[in-house]
Amino acid sequence: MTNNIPDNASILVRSFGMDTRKEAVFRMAFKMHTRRHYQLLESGDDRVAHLSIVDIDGPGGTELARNLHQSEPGLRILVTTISSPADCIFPILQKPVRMETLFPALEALLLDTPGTTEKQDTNVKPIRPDITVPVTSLNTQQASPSPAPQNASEVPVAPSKPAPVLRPEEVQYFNSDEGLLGLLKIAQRDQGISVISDQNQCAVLRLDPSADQAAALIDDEQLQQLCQVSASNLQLRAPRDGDSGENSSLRHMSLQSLLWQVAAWTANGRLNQKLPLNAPVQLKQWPNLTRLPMLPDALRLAAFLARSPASPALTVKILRIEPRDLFNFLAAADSLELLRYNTPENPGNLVRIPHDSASLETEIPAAKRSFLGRLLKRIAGI
Amino acid sequence: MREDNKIVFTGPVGAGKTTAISVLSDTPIISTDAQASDMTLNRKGHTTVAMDYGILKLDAQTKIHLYGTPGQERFDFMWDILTTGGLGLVLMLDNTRPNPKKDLHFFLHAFKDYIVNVPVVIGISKTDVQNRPGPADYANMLPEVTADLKMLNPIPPIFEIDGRKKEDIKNLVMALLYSIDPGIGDIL
Repeated sequence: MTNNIPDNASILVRSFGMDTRKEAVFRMAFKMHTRRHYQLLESGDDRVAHLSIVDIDGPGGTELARNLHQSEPGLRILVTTISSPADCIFPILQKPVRMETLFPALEALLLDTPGTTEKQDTNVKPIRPDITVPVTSLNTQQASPSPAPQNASEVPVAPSKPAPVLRPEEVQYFNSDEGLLGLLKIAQRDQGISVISDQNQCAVLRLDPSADQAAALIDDEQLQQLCQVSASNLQLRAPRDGDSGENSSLRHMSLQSLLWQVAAWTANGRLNQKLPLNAPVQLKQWPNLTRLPMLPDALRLAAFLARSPASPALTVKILRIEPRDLFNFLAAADSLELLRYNTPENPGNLVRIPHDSASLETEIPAAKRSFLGRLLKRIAGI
Repeated sequence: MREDNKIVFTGPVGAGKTTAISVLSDTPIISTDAQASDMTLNRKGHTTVAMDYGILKLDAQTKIHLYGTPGQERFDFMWDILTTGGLGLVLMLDNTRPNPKKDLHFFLHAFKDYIVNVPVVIGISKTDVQNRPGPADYANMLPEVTADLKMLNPIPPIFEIDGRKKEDIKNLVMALLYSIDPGIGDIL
């Protein structure tokens, strides 16, 4: 009896009106479905099917399903079609067929009592993709009407962290054209192989911008200290013999990652003086964050500033991030020329308003936000 | 299954879809061989198509379904069944293929209806073998490639991905989540 198919038994399905490509889609879907084992019967397989799926968009049309029903009244029929024929007495699986609608439709069909003329009096509603049909076991029928996450009520609502306070009078600024960062930007622009040396004329960095390569002859701690010294202590020059010196611990890296890190160290919690606190900034493109030193909240900041322009002040307020983390990120992104902001000196770099801001402003329901937050933590912990 | 409890991974054959899913999946990946008739192939007239499926468990009741589409373009008719709802699309591109721009164009257009409502992130694999085009080059291709598309996130993350580095996959998928809402994960 089809109503009493054990959970571990195969549910045999026969198709009608389908070509091999369509059958391949169903076979694929059946293999991916792990709750029950559905099997699409081959044309030569004589076993009795529990269910049938009839594609009525072909030459046979609805008559194909009706004839099948007349010849095999006990067979449960699900029709699939691109349209919604009003006179269809069979349950309808709307095309394009989706995983989310196929299996609820099949399970509903399994639970349904097979009938003949009674079907014509039944108010059969087509199963449409936008109706969430709960996946139930064959032994229970429980409604799950809520569109919210199933365990939303179980998720404790944690208090939001207090928004960091950004006092304009306390914001410090720095000049990104000075110091080590300034020299690196010049080297990047000039593209030739060069060396940055210290006050003793000892090479500290070797640069090959055309190959996006850099080599550090000092360690990170020394490099970070150099980010704080004035430009007069450093020099950008052509390489010469003996620059490598006795230093055998050359550290190679991309020039992009060096610029990124040096910019963040140079900013050190200060805002680039080119960026007004209340004027919008925007990312032209995401930084290649998998190949750059990770800065705090970099992913979040990139996502926020790539979707629409926002001022530093607004960014701190909305994302509740530490101003120093934002300022360091902005400095790093600017060092790679990834930022748009309105300055008289660079009229070609103006902020662009997105064409369709409606989708960006859509409020994410709290339940979904909670779900996404949990998923984020789960993935971060892998 | 809730409609938004899934992430779809797509891209050409060998781009790293299976690797990406295997990093995230709590269960061994199910590789389904969907039989599809193909008139040009073996004497049985069929070819097998690998399609990957994994599960990321959030808790006892909540799972994230990870679907990897077949990479062969001629099986694109199979992709439609996966693309409704969902959290987003992860597009993996193989930088050693002869025409990455064409791949970018093809896959974004193949999922054009999907990416209207969900974000897409792009992972570039095998950059250690072939480092051009780089992520910036792909970003520069996007305006032309997507001129006729409507995307939820027209400036998507484009990251270099090394399949041997778990952190690369994690960061790519976290970028996907932040692209849905940059404000997530900010509660104590």
